[in-house]
Amino acid sequence: MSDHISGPRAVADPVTDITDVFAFPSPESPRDLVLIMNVFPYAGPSAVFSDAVIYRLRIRPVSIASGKRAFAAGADEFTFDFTFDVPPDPDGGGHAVQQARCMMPNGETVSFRVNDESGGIGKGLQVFAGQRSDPFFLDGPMAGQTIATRQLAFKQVGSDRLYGKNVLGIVLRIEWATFLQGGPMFAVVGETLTSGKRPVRLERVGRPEIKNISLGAKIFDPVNRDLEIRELYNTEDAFKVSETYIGAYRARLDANLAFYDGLDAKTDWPLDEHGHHPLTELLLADFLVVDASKPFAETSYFEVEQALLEDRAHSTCGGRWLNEDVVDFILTLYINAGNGPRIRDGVDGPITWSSKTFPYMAPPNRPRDASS
Amino acid sequence: VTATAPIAGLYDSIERRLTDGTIAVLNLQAQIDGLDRDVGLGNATTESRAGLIELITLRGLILGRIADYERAAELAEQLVRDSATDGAAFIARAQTHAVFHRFTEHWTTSIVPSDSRSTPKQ
Repeated sequence: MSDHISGPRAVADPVTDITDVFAFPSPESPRDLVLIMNVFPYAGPSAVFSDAVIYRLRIRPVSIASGKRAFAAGADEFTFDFTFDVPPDPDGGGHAVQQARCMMPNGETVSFRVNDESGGIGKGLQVFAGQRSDPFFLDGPMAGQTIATRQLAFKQVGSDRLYGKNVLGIVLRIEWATFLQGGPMFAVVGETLTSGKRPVRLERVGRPEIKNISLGAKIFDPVNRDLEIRELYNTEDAFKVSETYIGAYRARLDANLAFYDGLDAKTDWPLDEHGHHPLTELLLADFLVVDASKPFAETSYFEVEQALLEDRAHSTCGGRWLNEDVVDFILTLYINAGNGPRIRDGVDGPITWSSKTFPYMAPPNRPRDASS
Repeated sequence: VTATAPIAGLYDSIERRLTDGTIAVLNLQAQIDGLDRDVGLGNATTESRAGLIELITLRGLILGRIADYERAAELAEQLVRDSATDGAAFIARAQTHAVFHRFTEHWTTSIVPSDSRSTPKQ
């Protein structure tokens, strides 16, 4: 699953478990950039945000590193922190009403009510937080089966365990020229941290399926075959990965990416003389890259990265839109590098598509929706 | 909705490191509801069902609800019937037995076939 259940701590405390991060130019206005972070996989109706957690969106201007097929993230950083109150006793309808705050990079805050679809409004900014339909879709069991059997196990029609499930979503729409400096290309990361004077990072997410599909399998790793590496990876600063463990992440990615490349019995990603996969360094710079000057696009995930690999200028906004089938894209990228047929997982959509108007994500599913 | 002036030390007032009890109970309920739906639809894995049993047992412990312990025990018995070769099912049932110190019953009923293994799934 995208970043759902991405390690033991995420399993133990789903309110800190980031499931997905999205970044896209607003379909409603080219002046606006939209960032979304979802948490709490399989959220039941009573789920609320934790008052002991900071939900953070980090943004840095990013450029192409000179002479290298890599990104150079700028030193300036713009953060939007979301914090939540303890809800008072449930209202007459039985639902807890929770108050929220968004702290902007300039230190000002916008207060708003959770689950209010019009959200909170500040100058050049609109925010929403609340329960929504999980927009991600994947045949998770067959992804696991593919690793177990070392053969592509996906079926023509797959089974999605996230179908009809809900998450807690945080949506931020900003006039990017007002809040951000540099650009127009930006790197975006979502984080959950403990609150307090010295926040401790619990999870971080940039691209989808880095921890689960790309890093999760241990059996191909020649170095750390028994290490739950995702737990370490979650605590890293996406813009400054520690030297202590980067070798372990690199070895795991090299091994797992080589495994996927071999699934069609041909090599589309030859390893370099050190045994490194061509995608490894790019994926270790684990943030969404979005070009805010380009128009909204529905299928633009990883296009900026692909352009970088091919030494050409990118043509789309990159980033990631809610409805894109990123799993099919990732499988195709890893297995045949786009040199063969599209690899499908057999699941082509969620229970409800997201819309192109704020707050974008579909309303939460009712308990009976998944069965009907 | 209000846009306010900068708040100095926003986090200073949030020094506690633990989620408030009200939220913790609401979210425990949310976890149970999320898994319960899958179990009801017959979509859940043994691992998910064992997780649900653990959560219901925890709710019983926190709220002092005997009905939760009983429900967890029922689900565990059903899980063993449905997954008789999966060690995880027997562990889940053993945990429900342990709640009321039913250790003798545990030892006489939790004989796991030798070829079964608890196989944690990702």
